[in-house]
Amino acid sequence: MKKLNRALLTGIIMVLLCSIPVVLSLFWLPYDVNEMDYSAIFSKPSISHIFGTDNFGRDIFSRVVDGAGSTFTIAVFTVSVGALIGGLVGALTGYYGGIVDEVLMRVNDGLASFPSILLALVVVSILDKGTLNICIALGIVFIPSFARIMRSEFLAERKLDYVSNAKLLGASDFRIIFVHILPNTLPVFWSSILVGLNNAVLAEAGLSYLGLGVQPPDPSLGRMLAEAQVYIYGAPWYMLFVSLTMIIAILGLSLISGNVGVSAINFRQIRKKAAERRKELRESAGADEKKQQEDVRLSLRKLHVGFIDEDGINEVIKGISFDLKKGEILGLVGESGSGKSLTALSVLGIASDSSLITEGEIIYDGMNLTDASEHEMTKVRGGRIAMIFQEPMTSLNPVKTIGWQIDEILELHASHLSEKEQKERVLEALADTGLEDPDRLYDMYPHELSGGMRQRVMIAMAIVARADTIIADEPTTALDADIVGVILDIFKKINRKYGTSIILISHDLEVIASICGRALLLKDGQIVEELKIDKQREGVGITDFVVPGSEYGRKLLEAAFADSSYIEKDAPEGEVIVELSKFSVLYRNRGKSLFSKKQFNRVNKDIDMTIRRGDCVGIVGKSGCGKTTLVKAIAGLQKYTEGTMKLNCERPGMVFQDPMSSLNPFMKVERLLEEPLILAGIKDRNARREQVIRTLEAVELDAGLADRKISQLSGGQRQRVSIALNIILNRELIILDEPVSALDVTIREQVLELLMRLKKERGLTFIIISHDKRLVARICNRVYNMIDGALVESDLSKQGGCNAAGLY
Amino acid sequence: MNFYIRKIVSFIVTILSVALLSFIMFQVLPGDAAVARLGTEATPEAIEALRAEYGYDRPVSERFVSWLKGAVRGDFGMSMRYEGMTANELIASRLPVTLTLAGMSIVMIALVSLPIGLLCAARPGGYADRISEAAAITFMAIPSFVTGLLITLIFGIWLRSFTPGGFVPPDEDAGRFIRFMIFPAISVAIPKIAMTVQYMKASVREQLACDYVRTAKAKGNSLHGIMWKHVFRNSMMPVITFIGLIVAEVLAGSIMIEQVFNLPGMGRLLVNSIANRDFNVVQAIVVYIAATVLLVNLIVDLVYRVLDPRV
Repeated sequence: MKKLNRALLTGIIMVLLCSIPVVLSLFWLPYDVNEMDYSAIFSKPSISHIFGTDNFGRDIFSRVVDGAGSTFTIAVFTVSVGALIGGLVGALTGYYGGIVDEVLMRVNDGLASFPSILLALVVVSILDKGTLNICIALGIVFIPSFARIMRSEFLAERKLDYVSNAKLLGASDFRIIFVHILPNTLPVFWSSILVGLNNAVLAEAGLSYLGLGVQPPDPSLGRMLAEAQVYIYGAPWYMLFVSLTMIIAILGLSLISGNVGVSAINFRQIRKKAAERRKELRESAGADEKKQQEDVRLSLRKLHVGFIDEDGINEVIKGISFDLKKGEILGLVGESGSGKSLTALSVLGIASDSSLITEGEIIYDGMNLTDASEHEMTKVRGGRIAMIFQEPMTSLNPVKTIGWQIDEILELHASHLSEKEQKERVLEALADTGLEDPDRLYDMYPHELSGGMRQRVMIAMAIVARADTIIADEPTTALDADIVGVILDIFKKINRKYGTSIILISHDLEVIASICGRALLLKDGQIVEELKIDKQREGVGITDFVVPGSEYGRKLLEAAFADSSYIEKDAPEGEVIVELSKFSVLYRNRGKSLFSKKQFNRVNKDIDMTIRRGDCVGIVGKSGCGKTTLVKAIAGLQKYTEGTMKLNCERPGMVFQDPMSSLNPFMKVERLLEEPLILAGIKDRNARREQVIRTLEAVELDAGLADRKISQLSGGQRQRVSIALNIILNRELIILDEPVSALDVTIREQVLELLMRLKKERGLTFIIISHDKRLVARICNRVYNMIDGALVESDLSKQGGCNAAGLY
Repeated sequence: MNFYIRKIVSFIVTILSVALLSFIMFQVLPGDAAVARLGTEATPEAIEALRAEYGYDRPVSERFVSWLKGAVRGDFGMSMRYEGMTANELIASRLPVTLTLAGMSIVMIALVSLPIGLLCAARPGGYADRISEAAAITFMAIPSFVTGLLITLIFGIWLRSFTPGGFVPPDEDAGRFIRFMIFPAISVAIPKIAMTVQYMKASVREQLACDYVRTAKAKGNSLHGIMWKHVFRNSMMPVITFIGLIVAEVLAGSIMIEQVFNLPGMGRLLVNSIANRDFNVVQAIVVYIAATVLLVNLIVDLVYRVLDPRV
């Protein structure tokens, strides 16, 4: 049981405080609501009338409870109507889109620009006042807001691959909407209902206050406030108690809606305590920690870093120590979750707020960075230690020019330079990274540049103030393969030209081998060993590394540079299973205006392709070239196509790159795998379960994982579930979209082995999309190269198999 | 340039649809305004005469065209309640109060909430953040008319800072007029300030989680530099849209508050006209408010374009 957030608890208590008397009032009230007592007009709060009495001597407490009852009833009723109708409209329009959606959303936009109370006023003015009419008015007012919320939820969910997957299983639209998508939108739906209740109480009170809602003598909170206002001089308690009741109810509701699912951790407090503890540890250890050898620039000494969570501190980095020498390029390598990035971010003190250095020192030029003040750190960051991040697309400020952003570093760290000198330095730095026409770039915005160019801008930022240390965190991972070598060369050049020390963080041993002298291998937050790199020849290969001492190191290297081929030699040619001729995939270009003509963009042009049973066909190409679009069209997931496609099998199956989005996060593994069986009409539950367990065995998954959700599985396990989904359906043709790219190398080999074993055993046909040329070379008997939507078959025999360089 | 033309065309189209919609709602649906005016006991002749006077005997399409012609010129017809007054005259006499009220509130909202939002989001979990969080949630929970009533109770009756129910027309004494508007404006502004602070905080927090902020930090910016040089402008963009929406809310708040403070503004006119089923006036007010809100949103769109180089 999670610790309940204090604000949430307060909210629940407040709502109970208001609603329990209302429920009780159905059976008993101290006084009749409309019972007048002229002998007790305006009596002050007392034991017999705890909230006092009003101008007719009626008991205010009884009226407040009864009035709150009718206010709540109206609120619940209107929100239910609004949520039900609005939610349904939103779900359908969001899922189907199209012209109905556009018209409805224009109407919605119009209504949204109109304050809800005013809208309700207009409706009431047409229907006339009265309780039933404000119910209708508010119901109408709430429909658009629920429609809007559910529409945007469905719009977002619809794009996720699990919906494509459900379509591939053959689920109907109705089933996809209500069984697959709806459960995933429920959290948002419930919270919008809470917000809606809140607004409904406000709106009802407002309307009744204006005299348009509940009519006298019946009480409602708004109605009573209007009455109380008249007697505000003589009987202020009247107004006070009524408004307090209302405030408590609304406050309670908004506390609940604002705090559901919010954790109650106080990061600052924990951080402070940890800093104190670190200080104590250091004091007891003595003061000679700061000493560094002459040629060392940066030292980590037994660094421990953890994340703060509900159970305390979860240590992720467990005692890392190393020295970065002057002018050295040091690699930091490891699989995801090994703590590489966190180490780097901790050096500069810019890791996320929930992380925390629990023990150890970071020493830079004799200075202890772990207890440097924020002001001292700002001088180190950028000026002395610069950092380059993985995502060049998002790491630059979108609203500032390139020149401004590079120049900012000089403003911060070299303000003694004149403006002209600064600009010269910026242009020089841009030129250093090999960017052409720095003058023009100076005034451009990040969105006008490609990913490779932006990463060069990031490098320019790192060198412009002559920082002597650069930490590059996966600087090439997000880039297309053809630009990776260029970026790495720039690092080498800078290292030589300025003697800059560089820490290169990467999961990719090829990248490490091509520019590092040595690399530290991390696993689970510890250094397993130091990999030595000894370049013997051109190109990159396993021979660049001195044979590792640790078993993990050897396994990793073998997996990373695995070259065992899965291509079946001399396999007989099968019959044609897919045939595309003059095939094009189109995208509807939605015009800005409702009335603009339908326009189509061709994503793939005139594609001819023949796939035979038993083939393993590879499709390679740069990101955004249209690979995924084409295979989705083959799977029947694209709406608009031209040309002919002949399929000589049942529906193809598909394994997506990211199982987190392609498998429904709401369903457990067993339920996921049962879904296609349910759709196939297998009614017997036990038969279904049996088949699920058999399939789990086939993909080498423990049957015990059946009742876990996808989020509780590891990356490799998730991808196995994706594969199982296709196996359980006996798909003959399976399309694999980057099936192992997101996996760590050791896991990658295992999943690959499974895939190829299943292919052989069951005589499957694969179409594989990958950016990894070596992988394609190992498994595909035919390879297509996609360039800007067009497909060219690579002649494998010419290049001595699938030579990496020959592909694109 | 294309963008501006498109925006203005869509503005005009939307305004026209609001006009059509309101015409259908008020002139076609509710049935007979003459009966409503004269009461069900009126003689058929009297009702017929009044219908002819207001032109209700003509076909709907013809009525819409002539109404629209008038509306374009700002002529929304006669009030059915106040003899001899046009809807426009009635609105014009009430406009200064509502405009002043709304204008003052908007200024208060912008001046108070944006700096507070930025300040509080800079140090999440700090004292300022926690206090503003609690205050914002509390004040959001109090509807503006209750705030108004409580302000009347505290400042009007207990502290005697102003006379509840008092009012001086602007052409009589502008200074005193403004002074009578301050407390109503505060009442309108308070819940919206709370909302805007929360929104601003959320927007700033969202920006703070962006990669480019990490870059800015890695460059050696202080928290101050990060907030002002990098985050402020980026976080303002959604907030500007939000303030555009707030304008509509402030107008709605003014309608309630005029009732509380007994101010002769458009809101009271609207509520009274609704109660009296004076549809010409209601319709005119609805069209005016819609036009104002749409115009503000048009301006917001244009400002947005200046701020964000990407669009």
